[in-house]
Amino acid sequence: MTQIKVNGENRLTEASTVSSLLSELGVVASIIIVEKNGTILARDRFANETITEGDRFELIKLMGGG
Amino acid sequence: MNDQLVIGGRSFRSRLMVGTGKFASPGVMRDAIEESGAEIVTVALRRVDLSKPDDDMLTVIDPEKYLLLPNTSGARDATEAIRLARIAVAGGLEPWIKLEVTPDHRTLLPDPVETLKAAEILVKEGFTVLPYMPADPILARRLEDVGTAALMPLGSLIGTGLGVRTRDAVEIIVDQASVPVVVDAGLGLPSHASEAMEIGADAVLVNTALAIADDPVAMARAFRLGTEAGRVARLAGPGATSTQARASSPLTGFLE
Repeated sequence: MTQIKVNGENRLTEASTVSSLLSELGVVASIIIVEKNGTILARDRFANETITEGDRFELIKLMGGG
Repeated sequence: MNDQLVIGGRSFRSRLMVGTGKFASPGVMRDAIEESGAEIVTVALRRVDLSKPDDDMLTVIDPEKYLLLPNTSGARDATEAIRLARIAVAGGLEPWIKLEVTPDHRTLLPDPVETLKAAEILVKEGFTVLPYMPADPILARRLEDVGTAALMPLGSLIGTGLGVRTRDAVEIIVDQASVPVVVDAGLGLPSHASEAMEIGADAVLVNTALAIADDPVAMARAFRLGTEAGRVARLAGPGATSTQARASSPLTGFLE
């Protein structure tokens, strides 16, 4: 298990890549944006981007707004 | 009538843009947007709620049918707004951004200095920038100078429904602008949308007035009609006003 932060909350994860983290969290959205340690990750890197201890993730999506 | 709105090189038939916040249900929102005739639909960017990880508004809004215009709501300065704009593009949205920098929670007034700063940088990065702005003609010029694709002066404070309280300033902005002027914020009734269009706005944006109406779908239709009525009236060329009576009926040929 790896200790990480997701959207400001501490979490333990078994995921080794960003794609598997999204699956583990059950995140499903047409558009999902991931920031890792303050840097935006390109979508085509989700599958290979590895997760290491202490990583901070921001998962962002579209919401209703004016 | 071939009267199209052109922003950033793209043409639109509708001059009503709608926001997607605060609707009671996704279905009502979808139907209201459809009824409004809008082609540009604003959305916000927020953290995924990990307690509802499968929540997805795009299941009801077809990105093929509408131009999704992400806003930078929540940004308190230029840096935060730029970050949100870049995030939107990373998500696969087109590089169009409704720039909002609103540091004051009480008024949600746009910060003119930070808005201008962010606009300049985002334009250089290739964004089509539509800035939400105070109805300030000098700022409007400055924003145009840095290359914004439109100007979005507020009618009144966000969500208040008070209408075009900034009428005189908006008229000056319209008069001097060479990019489309979109009156955003504070429009509560179709007559407000009509008024904005009558004084020469190129488009209006409405969200709360639809979302909180008893019947959002009917209100969307009313706003569509109001916006169209105002536009047609503007193009028709309103006659001059007068403080003295001017008879509509002939003042001759009365019966004895």
